Amino acid sequence: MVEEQDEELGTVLSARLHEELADLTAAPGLAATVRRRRSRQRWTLTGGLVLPVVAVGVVVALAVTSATTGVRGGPPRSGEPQPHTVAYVVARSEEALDGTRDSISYTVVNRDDGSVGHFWTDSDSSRTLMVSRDGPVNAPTLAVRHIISGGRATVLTVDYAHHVWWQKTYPYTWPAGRTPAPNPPKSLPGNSDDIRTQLANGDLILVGIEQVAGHTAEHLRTAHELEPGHYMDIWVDSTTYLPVRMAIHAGQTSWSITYEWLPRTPENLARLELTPPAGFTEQPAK
Amino acid sequence: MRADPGFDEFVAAHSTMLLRSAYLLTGDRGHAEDLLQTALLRTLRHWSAARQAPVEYVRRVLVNLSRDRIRLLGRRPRESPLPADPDRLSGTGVESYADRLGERRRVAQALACLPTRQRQVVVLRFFEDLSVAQTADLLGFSEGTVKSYTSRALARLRDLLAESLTEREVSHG
Repeated sequence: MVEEQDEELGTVLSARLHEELADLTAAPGLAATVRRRRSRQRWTLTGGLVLPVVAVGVVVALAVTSATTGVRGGPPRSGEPQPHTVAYVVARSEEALDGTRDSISYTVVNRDDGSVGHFWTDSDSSRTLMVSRDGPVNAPTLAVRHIISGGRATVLTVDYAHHVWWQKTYPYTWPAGRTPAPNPPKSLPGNSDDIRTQLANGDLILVGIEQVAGHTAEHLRTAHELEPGHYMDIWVDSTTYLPVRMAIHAGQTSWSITYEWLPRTPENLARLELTPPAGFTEQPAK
Repeated sequence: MRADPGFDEFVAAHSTMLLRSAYLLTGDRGHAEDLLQTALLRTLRHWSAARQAPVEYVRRVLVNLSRDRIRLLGRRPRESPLPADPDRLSGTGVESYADRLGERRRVAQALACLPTRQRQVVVLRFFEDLSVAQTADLLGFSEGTVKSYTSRALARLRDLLAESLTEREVSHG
């Protein structure tokens, strides 16, 4: 009886799994990709055994080239971009994001209604500070500053259109076992953990190498549309592997997020300061 | 060595199915692609032997590679999700995309919650449609062990999927 029920459930699960994965398909040209990897391995092996001195020379030459041009190393090919797997790009990008812990992240969100939001986020071991400004960067219409520290979040809002400001504080408890910083709340754009989540869970494919925001970047796209026209693009710099841009497409709506990782200079830290201008009226917190 | 067109034909015919199995074994599209490429590379290297039963050859390599990967990941601490943010900022929408994608693959996600061996048994028995004997041979277990893992895995999946399967589908024994 139990075995019969198990078999029944197994049949149901089989059908569900085949249905869920129906749109998951292998990349075209996979056999050719595997053959290229095989050729490179054989070339490397042959060169290493037969011509060790030449091989060392090639390695040195590549290292020098990489050091002087900033381009990553690897076997020489005739101008062909190095084929990577998604896993490789994601792993390198995660490593790169680990190196942004001492940076201020600056993100610009361009919404399809033409509005623009600017976000600066800085975290250290004791607090996370984040400031957003809507509208032109030097003449914002609304600015919000979050300070998360000691189990509390303090939010200051300045409404430039109506010359008012308000502030509120509420308990913000981080999950047990999680270090409060440098992981700001998930909904704050630009934090490295959020991007890491997208990279890890986004079910991505590699589209190719493109020029984006002045960077040569690896273009990743979600492998499946949640609904027709709903998908996400991520570009990561081909050299540093830091995210450059993310674009969300949801039917008729779309927006993009462009990333920069800034050093903690006094000038950049000043972007995180927010003070209500003189003459603005304080209001009860909304 | 001249290229054997048989390998290309094999990849064209079976790579999608093998990718789906790799996805279920790893729970991650990128790693599944990586695993499949590596498995196919090993198969190509030994094509003269593998060509007799290439699907079985690749499947065996995939199972072994996925087990190694899962072991590696098991050493890394897991992160817990963040709490809801009362002052959630609107307008980015980034955070929900991967979550929504996961919702659509509820059974595959539940499968990813199982211990490695239980997951392998379910994938091979019910997705690859292998018999108990074939599964036991591939994993190096006895048939009794395969049945035991199957039973435990299905009991766990019943719990995990209680809300998304109908009462009849999920009926307890």
